[in-house]
Amino acid sequence: MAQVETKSAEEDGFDDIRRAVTRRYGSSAKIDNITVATLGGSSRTVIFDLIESGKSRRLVSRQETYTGEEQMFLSTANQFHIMDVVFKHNFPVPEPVFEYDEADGMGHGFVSAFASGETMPKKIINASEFADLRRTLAARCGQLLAQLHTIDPSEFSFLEQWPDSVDTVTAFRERYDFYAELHPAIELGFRWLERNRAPAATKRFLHGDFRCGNLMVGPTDIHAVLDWECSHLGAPMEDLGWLCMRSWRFDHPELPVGGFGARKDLYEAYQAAGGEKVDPEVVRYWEIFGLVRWAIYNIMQAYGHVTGFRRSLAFAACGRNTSLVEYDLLMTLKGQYT
Amino acid sequence: MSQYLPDVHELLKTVQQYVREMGAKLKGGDKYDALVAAYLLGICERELRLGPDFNQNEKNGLADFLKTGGSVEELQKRLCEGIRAGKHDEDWDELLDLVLAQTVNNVAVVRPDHLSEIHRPNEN
Repeated sequence: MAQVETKSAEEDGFDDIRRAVTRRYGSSAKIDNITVATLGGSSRTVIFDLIESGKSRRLVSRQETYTGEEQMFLSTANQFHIMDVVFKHNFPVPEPVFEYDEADGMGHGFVSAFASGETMPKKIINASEFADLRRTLAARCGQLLAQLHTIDPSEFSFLEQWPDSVDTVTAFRERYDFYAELHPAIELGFRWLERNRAPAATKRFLHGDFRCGNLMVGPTDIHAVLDWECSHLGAPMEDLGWLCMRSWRFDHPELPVGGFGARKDLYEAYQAAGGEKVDPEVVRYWEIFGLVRWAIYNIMQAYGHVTGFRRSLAFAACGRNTSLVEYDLLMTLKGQYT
Repeated sequence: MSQYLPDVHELLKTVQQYVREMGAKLKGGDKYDALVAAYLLGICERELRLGPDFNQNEKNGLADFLKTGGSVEELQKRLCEGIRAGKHDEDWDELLDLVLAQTVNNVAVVRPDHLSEIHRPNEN
C-alpha cells in the first residue's frame, strides 16, 4: 500500500470522514495525521488518527468507488461482516471498527484498525530482513488457512448465494463471457477444468485471495491478513492452489508456495492444524483455475479502463498483462511449471 | 510515406527513456505511474516492430489447425467456439502447442523477460 499524500486535519477533502467520526464518537472527536493510499483499485483508502477521550488510535477508512455491472467483488458490508467473524476467532485481521451508513452519505465502506507491516511481495520474498520469516512462512500460511477452513461455515451463511459460493468455476465463466473477448488460452483452461473436475468437497469458508500482497508481515510473523473481497464458501484446496500458482512466485519459481516456501511445509502444517488431507492433484486443479481466474481479473481491469469507468495506466497495463497469466496457465497445463 | 530519422521505434524509445528518468525523480503514485507509462511505451515499440510478423504467423497457424481461411479474428472466434464445444479434445496436445505459440508471441511483445528460457527471444 503506497502512502504518498499526507495532509493536516485543517485541509479540505476529509470532512466526510470527520462527520462520520463525530456522529459516532461525539463532537470532541478529531481526526489527524491523514494519509491517502493511492494504489487501491476500486476503493478510496484513507488512514488517519482518531483522537477521542484523550486517546489516539490509528484507523483505516475504505470506501467503494467503483461498482461496475461486472463487479466480481464482495460488498464492503459483507467484507466488514467477514472481518468481524474472523476477528472474533482470533484470526490476525485488522479489527473492524464501524461501517458507514446512509446518514454518512459516503456510499459503502467501513473503518478498521490500522495494521503495520510490510505487504510488498518482492520485499517479503527477497529482503534480508524477512529471511527468518521466510523459513517458517509456508507453514504459517498452512496454519492460518486451516484456522479459517475449520470455522463453522454456517457463521458465513450470508455468503451462501454469492456466485462463487454456489460454483466458482461457473461464476468465472459467466464473468468471462460478459467481456465478450476472444482468449483461446482461457477457453482452453476452462475446457481442461470441465474435463478434469475436482472431486466434490465439503464447502468451507475461504479467504479467496490469500497470497503475498495481502499478507501484512513483520520480521517474524504475519501481522494481519488483508483484503476479504474475494471470500466465499468453497473447496478448501482452492485457497491452497491460489497460494501456489505461478503468478505469485515472482522471480522465485523454484519456491511454489508464494515464492517463499515448499509445498511440503504448507501441506504438513495445514494438516497438523486441522485442515483436511491435502491431495496435490486437487491443489493443481485449483492452481489452474486460479490462473484462469487471475487472467479474468486482468481483463476486468482493462475493461474498466477502455470503457472509461475508471481509466488508469495500471489498468491499461493489466489488459496486456493478461497474456503473461495465460502463458503461466499454458505452461502449467503442459507440466512445464510445477 | 517516407519519414526522416529518427524512426518511430527510436522515437518511442526516446520518450520511454525520458519517462523513466522523470519517474526516478518522482515519489509514490506519480513514480509508479511513470514506471507503468514507460512499460506501456515499451509494449508499443515491440508491437510495432514484431506485430506484423506475429500476426501473419498467428493467421497461418490458426488456418492450418482449423483447415480453413479467414481473418485472424474470424479464426480466433472459430477456435474459441471449437474449444468450448469440445471439438478439439482429440487434438489436445496440438491445440495446446498452437495456443502456447501464439501466447509466447503476445508475451514477447508485452514483457519478453517473463518468458521461460526456452521461449525467450534473442533480443528484446
